[in-house]
Amino acid sequence: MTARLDVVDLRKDFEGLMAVFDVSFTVAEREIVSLIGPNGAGKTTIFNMISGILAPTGGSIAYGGHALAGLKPHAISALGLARTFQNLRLFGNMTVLENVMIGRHGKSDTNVLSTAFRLPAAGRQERAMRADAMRQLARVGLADKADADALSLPFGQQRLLEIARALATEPSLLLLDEAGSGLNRPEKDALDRLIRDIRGDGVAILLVEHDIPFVTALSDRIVVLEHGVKIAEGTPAEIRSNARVIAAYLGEDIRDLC
Amino acid sequence: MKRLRAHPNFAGVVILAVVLAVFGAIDLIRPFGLRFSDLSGRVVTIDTMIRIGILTIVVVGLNLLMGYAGQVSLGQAGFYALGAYASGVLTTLASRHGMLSGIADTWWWPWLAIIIGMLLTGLFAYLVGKPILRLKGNYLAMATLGLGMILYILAGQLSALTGGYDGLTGIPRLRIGDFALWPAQRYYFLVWGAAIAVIVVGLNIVHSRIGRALRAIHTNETAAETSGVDTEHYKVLALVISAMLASLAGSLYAHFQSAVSPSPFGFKASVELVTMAAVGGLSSIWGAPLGVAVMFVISNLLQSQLETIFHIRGGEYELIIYGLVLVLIMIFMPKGVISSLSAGRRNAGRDPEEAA
Amino acid sequence: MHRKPQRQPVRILVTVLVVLGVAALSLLLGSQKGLQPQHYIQLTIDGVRAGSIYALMALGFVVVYSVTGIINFAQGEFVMLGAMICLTVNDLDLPLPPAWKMIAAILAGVLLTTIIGATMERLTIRPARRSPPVTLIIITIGVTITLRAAALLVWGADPHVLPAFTTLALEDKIFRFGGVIVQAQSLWIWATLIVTLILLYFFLERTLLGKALRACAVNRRAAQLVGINPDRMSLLSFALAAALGAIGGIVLGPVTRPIYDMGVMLGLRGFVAAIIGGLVSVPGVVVGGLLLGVVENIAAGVTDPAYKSVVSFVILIAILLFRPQGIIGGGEKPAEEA
Repeated sequence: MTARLDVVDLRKDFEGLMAVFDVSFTVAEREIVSLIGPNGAGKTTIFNMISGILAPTGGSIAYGGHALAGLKPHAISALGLARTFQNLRLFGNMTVLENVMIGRHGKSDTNVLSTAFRLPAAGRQERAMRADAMRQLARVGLADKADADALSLPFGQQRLLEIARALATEPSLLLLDEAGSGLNRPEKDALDRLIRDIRGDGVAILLVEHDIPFVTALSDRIVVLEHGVKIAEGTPAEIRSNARVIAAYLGEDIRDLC
Repeated sequence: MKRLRAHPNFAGVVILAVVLAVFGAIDLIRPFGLRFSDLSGRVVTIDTMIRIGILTIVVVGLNLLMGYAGQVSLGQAGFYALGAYASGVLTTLASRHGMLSGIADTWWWPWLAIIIGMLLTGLFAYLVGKPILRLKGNYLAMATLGLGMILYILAGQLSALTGGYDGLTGIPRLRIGDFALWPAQRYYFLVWGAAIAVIVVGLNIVHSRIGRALRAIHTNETAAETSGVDTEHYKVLALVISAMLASLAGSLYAHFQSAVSPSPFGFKASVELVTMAAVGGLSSIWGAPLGVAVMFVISNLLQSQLETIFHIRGGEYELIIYGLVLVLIMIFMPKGVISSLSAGRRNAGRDPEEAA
Repeated sequence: MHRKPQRQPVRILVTVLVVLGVAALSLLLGSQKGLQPQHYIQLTIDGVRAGSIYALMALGFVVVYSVTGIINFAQGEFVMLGAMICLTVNDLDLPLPPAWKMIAAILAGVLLTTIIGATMERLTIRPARRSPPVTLIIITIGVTITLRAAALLVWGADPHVLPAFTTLALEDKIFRFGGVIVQAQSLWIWATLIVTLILLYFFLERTLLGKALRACAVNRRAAQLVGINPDRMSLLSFALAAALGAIGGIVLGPVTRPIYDMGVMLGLRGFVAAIIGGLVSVPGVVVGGLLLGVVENIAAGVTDPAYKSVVSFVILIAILLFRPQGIIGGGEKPAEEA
């Protein structure tokens, strides 16, 4: 079974407000796909449904052939999907390293008794988790901040921390929810490189983004949503010249589309 | 709860153990005719120390549940009661119902009863926890309150089993073979031995992957879930552990009093437990013995000093001041006494050492 | 969090079945005790009376909770204080005819309790308003302990007497319909509830202050942005809750002899009623209170009065588990929008 995300006719109805209506798209192995669209298009709602936080009202989501409907988020994480959050959900009462170690949680299986009585197996696994977490931190360039309080990092680095935590779960599909928003130019370039790097390791990436040049430079394919409906899908070149997309963004600065 | 050291501070445990052992030895040996209570200016007696030890066991569990996993419980006294009654009923089976006469009289039966009690309470907590832990914040607080109250009322109503509102008496003292763990001077060692073991277990859990998972759940449940933590499992686990610890404490209490009745297990008791946990510092295992000790000392001091200094009698004044102290501590030291202590150390230029 | 969508018809069916089942069980148990229809009616009427008090108490919880998000454990003590202060003033040797003295006593009870409630908010809640729920719960519990102990000190442990409003004496006027007894005080209670609801309605819907309070309840931050001071609203909510509690206690006083710890169980009942109604909806909690009163009374009637409390707690847990939002309110965090 290839690790492919299949979203088919996905729907979300919030008591009369149709946030997502019959949206379908796929993300193949090692692909970088972006979801773009004006505010309120339903992008984060779709993310929430894929990661299991929100239940769809209709349609299906499958990953690697497994149906994701009804699965709890931690089970979905075990299948290889990881995500970051638009509003950053770091664990403020822990250090940077501990945040990433949470991502390693699902990869270890020490039970209560062995931790309660400090059996050697627990210690071994703990050390391994720590080393794995440090590796992820090094990857995003935060190794030197390992013992800092998570919330003491500047904003851009907090975003990187969330990515490191997500990577620690060893995903084969990474969902990045507006990972680039709030970053300055050099930070965005670094993010671009990091994402390519991650893809190079065999991870597919689904992005939600507002920065169109960032997205067009990076993505293999782009899916455009407006008011919960998919209005276009294609390569960056195709999307750039799509009349409907341009019309949807008419309220935005047109120069961004060029 | 910002930074946890890689390893729990076992030095602290050893120091505590030694200090407690010395105090206990004093009462056993009575050098120069001194008693433990004389040392503490008559504020604390062996009796009080035993009670503090027993409640420390409950509060460690409560800290794990409330401080780490972030789940409020206003019904913890219910689990405490389950343990006490389990021990009470099982050890008096022979004398009251004529059941299991051969077995229920042996020295090892009460110990087995304690374990049975813990297992039963743990099972109960598991069954109840799964649905109830879906609730959050105030709603969870209320559900646990209701649960605790139902257990309390049932303890009083199911007289055939529990002895009704008068309760059970004649609970045997614990012994190992022929060595009786009584009088109080000896029981003290058992209780504090158990309390210290529980503190060690608590520290171990907190400094592990599980403790980290609990803290993650407390701070941001959704992010913990999507990062691969089965939050439901861990919340229930925290509840079950805290319930089993409360049960252990309840059993120790039953053998201490040699009797159980519903009255120490009502809503007031649950509130007192939460108070002790909060006063000591919810997010710290060390906060448990500290919080229990502080509340006991305040309570005892009020009782004795109000009489001596103000020549006032009567529990009302004591309660009034107790309530006021409670409010003041919560307003000015919301993270508990222990964080104020470590804040003091931080100011002295040392590493912040929270949950040690 | 992830939840399987439940279908409406199934839930309605289950609810109906449960209600029928419970009703059948009650009738069965009742017939074993030899209860006649008039007994059921009596139980229901008494239940509606108790329920009206629970409703008044629940209103107090709702006001505080919706504006501040705090569950005020001391609400029961407001009820107790209202009753106690009222009867104390009424026992004073004032140069007034009995009816006027009673009115003065009622006013004193409500006024002083309101002041106590406002003081509580200012001294204990306001300094801690940013604390997590646990801390606030403990604070309100601390206040409860203090108030109750103070009451014990001032009024002692014995039950006191508040004369019935109609006769201004211990014996109340009684109406008989068939085999059913209705005390005159019950009419006072119902009238009070209705008048209170009407006044509350006018306050909340028609006055600027009331609307400000509601605005704060709906969206604290937005209310702040339009110039409403949430601290003032917090104070107002506690004062209002104290007044509501006092009114309930005073009008209940002649029926159950006021005693220093009457607030405990009443507070818990009021809370259950508030939960049934969703903690934020006025009509909801009124219905909740009345329902709770009736169910409790009938249950106690067909089994044993000691089980009265068990009934409320079982209802509490059942509601929390199966319809915490049904009862509106909401423990779920809203999903992010994009």
